[in-house]
Amino acid sequence: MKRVPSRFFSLVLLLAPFYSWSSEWQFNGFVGQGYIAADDTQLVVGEGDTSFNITEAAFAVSWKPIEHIRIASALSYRQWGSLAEGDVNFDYLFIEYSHQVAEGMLGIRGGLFKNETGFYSSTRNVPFTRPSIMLPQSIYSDYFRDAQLHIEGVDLFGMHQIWDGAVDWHVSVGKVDVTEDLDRNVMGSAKLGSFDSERYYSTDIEFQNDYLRLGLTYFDAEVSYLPSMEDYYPGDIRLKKWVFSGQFRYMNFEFTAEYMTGDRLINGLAFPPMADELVDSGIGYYLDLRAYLPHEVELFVRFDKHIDDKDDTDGKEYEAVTGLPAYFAYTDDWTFGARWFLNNDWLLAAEYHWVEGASWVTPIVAPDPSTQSQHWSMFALQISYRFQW
Amino acid sequence: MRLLATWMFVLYLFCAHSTAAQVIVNDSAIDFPLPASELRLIFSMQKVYWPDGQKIQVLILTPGSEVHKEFCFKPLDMMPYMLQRRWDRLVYSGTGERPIILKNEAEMQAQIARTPGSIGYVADPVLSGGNRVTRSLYETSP
Repeated sequence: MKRVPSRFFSLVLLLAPFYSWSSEWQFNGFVGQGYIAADDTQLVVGEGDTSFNITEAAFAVSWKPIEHIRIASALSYRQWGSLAEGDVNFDYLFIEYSHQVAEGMLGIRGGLFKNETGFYSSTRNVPFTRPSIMLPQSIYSDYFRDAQLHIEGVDLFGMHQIWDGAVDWHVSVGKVDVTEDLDRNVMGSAKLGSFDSERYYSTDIEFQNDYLRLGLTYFDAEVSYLPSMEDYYPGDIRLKKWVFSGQFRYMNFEFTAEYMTGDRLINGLAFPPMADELVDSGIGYYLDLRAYLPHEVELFVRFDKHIDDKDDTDGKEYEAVTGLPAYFAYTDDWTFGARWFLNNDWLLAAEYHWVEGASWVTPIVAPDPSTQSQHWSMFALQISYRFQW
Repeated sequence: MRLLATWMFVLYLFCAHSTAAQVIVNDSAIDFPLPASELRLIFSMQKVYWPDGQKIQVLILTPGSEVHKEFCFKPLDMMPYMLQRRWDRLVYSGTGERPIILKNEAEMQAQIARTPGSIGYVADPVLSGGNRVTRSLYETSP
């Protein structure tokens, strides 16, 4: 939160030289209010069974003061039950230069921008662009959301037309912008210590035409940890992941699958510094089938699978080593949902998650079998409004 | 007889409403066939330059309007909210902009006439206001 004023100041500095008001501006925004009810878990709802503290809003500005230059920024508010405390933050704030190359374009932007992992990372907070209220956690984990979403650095990008479609790609280098939400979601409390960003590299390429969408992302993100209690040790968490994405549309049906593989490397935290680096080779994937029906109604069913360690798919080894139940090492989530565009500006969405396992349930390093069952469920409802000026 | 007339009238009403929206461009835009797939790229904001290097300026009517929906279904062959989803992705990731939204067709004609590189649509070619109608081009496309 304290970063907002300083970033606002830098925005003003950035804009100050361009005092002519005649150039092009564009404003967009949305507001969403949700309701979540969950059984046999404390994820999102905390100690209660339900939560109305599911509020999202954003206001985005894009401005082209002169040819080739664009400045874009968005302020967002997000409160997501126990996962994200209500806070206003810059979602992105950058300056970009782009130029035509053949029929496409090349560009570079610097500042705070969104990561482009998979199909949905960069717009995961937006009810209108994400496929469901809670994204498939195997790939878009809410607990680690904060350690991947906002990048401060430089992004080189391009867009080209091929095969009746378009390819766009990004190469990004920078640091991750972390908040206290990450401390809470990983360790269980912000009082136990704090995470800080180290470095972030990623490369992403995506192709889209009328019926096909394909994507590939690699990222390497590291956050360091400094404890404030003696029970934990200084260290770091590093993620090196590949994400493969595919979407196919036929008539009114759309099939989407994404697959993530790679390593999670942990030094310290719950393990003393002399212990070896803990390497988990996790796997996550989901399969999503949806039908676009008349009257702007969308129905979907999805199976989402996550395994912490690919050599221990049923968690038996995890149970033997940690003494915790095996179901904290994997998650199977069946989701059934509907989305309905009441008109162009209003969206009503509802979904039910039927889940076995708890590998992505917060807090990640402190699982609690007394509050988190092997089988649990979640119902979510959200109404959202968008505006375009 | 009266029944027939009523039916004819209903049919006439139906026909009158089924004329597809027409794509119009500023005269500076290069005259070349614009297949439907190309149009979809342009209106999805995934193709932002004309081949001669001129920036494409995409103009639309209010997304909730009948003409806009007609335009999406007919020449574009795309569901309106699919198109909107592509714009939202650009807007909220910050990586791009959506088309410029205009209030009515008169504004569309005027804006296209004075903006080099611009492209938009009207309900009827009569409303093109002297701007070039690209009708023949997309009709020849797959």
